Amino acid sequence: MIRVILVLILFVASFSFPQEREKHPLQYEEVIKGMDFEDVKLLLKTALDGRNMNVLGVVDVAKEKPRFSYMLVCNLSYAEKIFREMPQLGVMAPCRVYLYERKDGSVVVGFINVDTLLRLFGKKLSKEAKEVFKKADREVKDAIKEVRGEL
Amino acid sequence: MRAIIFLVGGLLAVLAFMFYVKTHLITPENMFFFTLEVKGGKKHQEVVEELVKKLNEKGLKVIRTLPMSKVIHERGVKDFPNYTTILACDIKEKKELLRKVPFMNVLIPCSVVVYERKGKLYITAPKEFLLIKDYSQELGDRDAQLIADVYQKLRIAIAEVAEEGRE
Repeated sequence: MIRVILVLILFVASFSFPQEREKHPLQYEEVIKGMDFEDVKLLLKTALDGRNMNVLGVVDVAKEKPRFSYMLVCNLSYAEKIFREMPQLGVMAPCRVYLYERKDGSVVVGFINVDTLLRLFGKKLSKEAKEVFKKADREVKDAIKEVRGEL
Repeated sequence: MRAIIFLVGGLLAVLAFMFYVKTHLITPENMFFFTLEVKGGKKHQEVVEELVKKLNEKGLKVIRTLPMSKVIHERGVKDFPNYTTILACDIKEKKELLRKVPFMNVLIPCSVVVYERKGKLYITAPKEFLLIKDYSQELGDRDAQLIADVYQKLRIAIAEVAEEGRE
């Protein structure tokens, strides 16, 4: 029931909320200030790799300012546990972690909001698979913290 | 008495309809995923190869094919069903589009999965509808239509591969 309500809220939100002021429930972003885009990219890749969130590739969509890149991130052990139970979730994989440069020079790192995904699809997953999902989410967020020097 | 029976009957019919809509139509799976079962007894690898060819033919350039199950099998987990992820939809407009609305990176490029489940073969792609609606202001009509067109082509490609029998 909660999942249905959440889907309906997302649907209704699309017609009624001022989008530029409200972050979408499926979107997770963090702003990193005082660092160059290329430094953030390199440190993030290293931090993700260090947490076994394997970076399969880095795609530079825009090399000139404002720069935009994304990383294809995957942990096969996690994927195995989740896809075994709900293979459709593979369309979210490899997880894309994107980075873009804002006018003030800050860099935004974003990816899909796992909490919302779990609220939507959690009923289809076992407790163990949900834990794996949360662990993956924590690891990406910790990698971002490491880039900011907070870990 | 007859009026009460009609009233109760009508109410039950409405409740049954609402239950059907809730359980069969408005499910998160239906809203977010487009899934087709592959017909014609095709093999997993055959479907992957056909789909890659079809996507490229339709201008939905394939960037990478990730044989997830193959790598998982190599790690010793032999019972994991066949599973391949195809990363496609590498459209030429991506730079402008992603700079404008970065979160569209969850749709462009697109991931399509070919997998086995309970002896059947399926292809799943994401559905773009909700996200396009939610980001319609930032995207504008032209880019919203661009993504919608890409995903329409994607669904056609999947349907052609899933529905066609062996040649």
